[in-house]
Amino acid sequence: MRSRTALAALLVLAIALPARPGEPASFQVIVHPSNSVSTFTREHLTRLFLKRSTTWEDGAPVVPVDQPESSEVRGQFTRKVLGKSMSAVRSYWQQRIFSGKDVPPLQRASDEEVIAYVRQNPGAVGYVSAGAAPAGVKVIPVQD
Amino acid sequence: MLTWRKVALVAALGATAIAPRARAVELADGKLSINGFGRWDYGRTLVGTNHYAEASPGGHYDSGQLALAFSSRLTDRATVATQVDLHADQRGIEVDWVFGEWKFSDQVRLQVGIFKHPLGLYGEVIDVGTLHPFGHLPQGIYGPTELVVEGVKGVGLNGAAYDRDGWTLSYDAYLGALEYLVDEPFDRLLAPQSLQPGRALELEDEDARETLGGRLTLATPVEGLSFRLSGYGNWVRSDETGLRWVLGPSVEYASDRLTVQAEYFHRHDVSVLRIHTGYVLASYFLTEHLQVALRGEVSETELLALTEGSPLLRHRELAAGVNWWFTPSLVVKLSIHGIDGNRLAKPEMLDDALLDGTLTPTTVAVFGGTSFSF
Repeated sequence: MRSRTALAALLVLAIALPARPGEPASFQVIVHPSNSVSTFTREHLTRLFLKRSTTWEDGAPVVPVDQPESSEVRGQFTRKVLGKSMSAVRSYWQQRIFSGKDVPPLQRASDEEVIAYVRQNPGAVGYVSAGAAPAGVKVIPVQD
Repeated sequence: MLTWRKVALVAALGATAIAPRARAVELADGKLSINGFGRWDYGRTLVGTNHYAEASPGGHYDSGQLALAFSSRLTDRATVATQVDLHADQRGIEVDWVFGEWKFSDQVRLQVGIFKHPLGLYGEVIDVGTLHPFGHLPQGIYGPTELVVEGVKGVGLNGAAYDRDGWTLSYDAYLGALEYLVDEPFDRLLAPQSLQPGRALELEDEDARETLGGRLTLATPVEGLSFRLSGYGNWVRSDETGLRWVLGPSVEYASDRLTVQAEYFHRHDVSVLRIHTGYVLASYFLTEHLQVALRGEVSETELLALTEGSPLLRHRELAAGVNWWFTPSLVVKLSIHGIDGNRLAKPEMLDDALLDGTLTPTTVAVFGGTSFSF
């Protein structure tokens, strides 16, 4: 009986706890085929998507592309890569916007739109669902 | 006739309609962004006859505000930005900030023009109601106490000095002029013979031209935990004051549900006065939409030429609020505030109250309203 209770508690915990960075990625990070980057760390991606780092190694401007806040892939990316809740990211951008310091990344409405944008813009970096088939762009692995 | 009150109302309704999307307007492939925020608050003094923030004994309705922020990226390094404020009261239209920015690198960005005052947690976003749980910020720091101004006129630098392993140290530095909104009744204490029957307390402007200031912000690897240290020094241009300096730390922990904040500031007008002011705030989301909040605030002023105390030198406040967030970009707020002291809660005819001995230090006020952003 006690072991069943413990098992149930573990299951509840497993459901309740937010996704951790070590879990399999449910998204793919993509860049333009001409981009020389071969791997990303979560920290590097965080700097790019919070616009704390705005140039690639060759000096070209970075253009991060987000998906809508309501999308599953945005939630996964925000938690696993940025390590923040959606409300924390929203608050961060409101502070930046209304202090005149910056504006959030561009948003595209779907995986297809993100892929199309990245394909056309050499400085772009975006993310799409794990199940998407990102043709014409380069998928970059993400390390911890 | 189209009044600003009507404009604000129409804008509020319009924004309410688009709030569920809560998206900025992006034009020219993101090169031009338009964001905005707005609010309307009602305030009423329930106990006492004092006016406090936007509360008055008869009820105050005229606090509607809509701000639009425009940011245009001219090149990868050059940006111009401005924010225009529309007020439902006599302030009408104001330009909050207007500046040009040149990005030398991610570590160094130069701003020239009028830019928001980087002080504490909220110096740059005082009126953005979707960033804080009460209808107005702690008045001891963000009210008319000559600590924070609407905008710095001059040059500023900002950037991230260190960004590694979850630690981010960013900075703001500025040099320029500040224009304070002055609401200080201290001359009435220092020179009681100058009291005039029928004289109301009026807000005045005061300039400080040679201001050098800055802020350090340290974000930690603990999500939502950050520390700030901000301050400045300047020469205030008036008959009484000379060198002024302001310094204070801020700490914030913000998670999805719980936010805890504390700030303290010390203002010293050399040879004239010292002010100690601070607050502690906690807010918690009971559900996705329902938030409760508590705030305690103390502000004490010490006039160096005055030995005895006065209610006009102190402000102690305890506030409780409950908010309903329809979306993260649209909220309605209700709060009650108990106040001891007349530093910030005062009768309209202050001189009469002092002459008659009818100054009452106790005030209870309620506020209700809405805030949105997009």
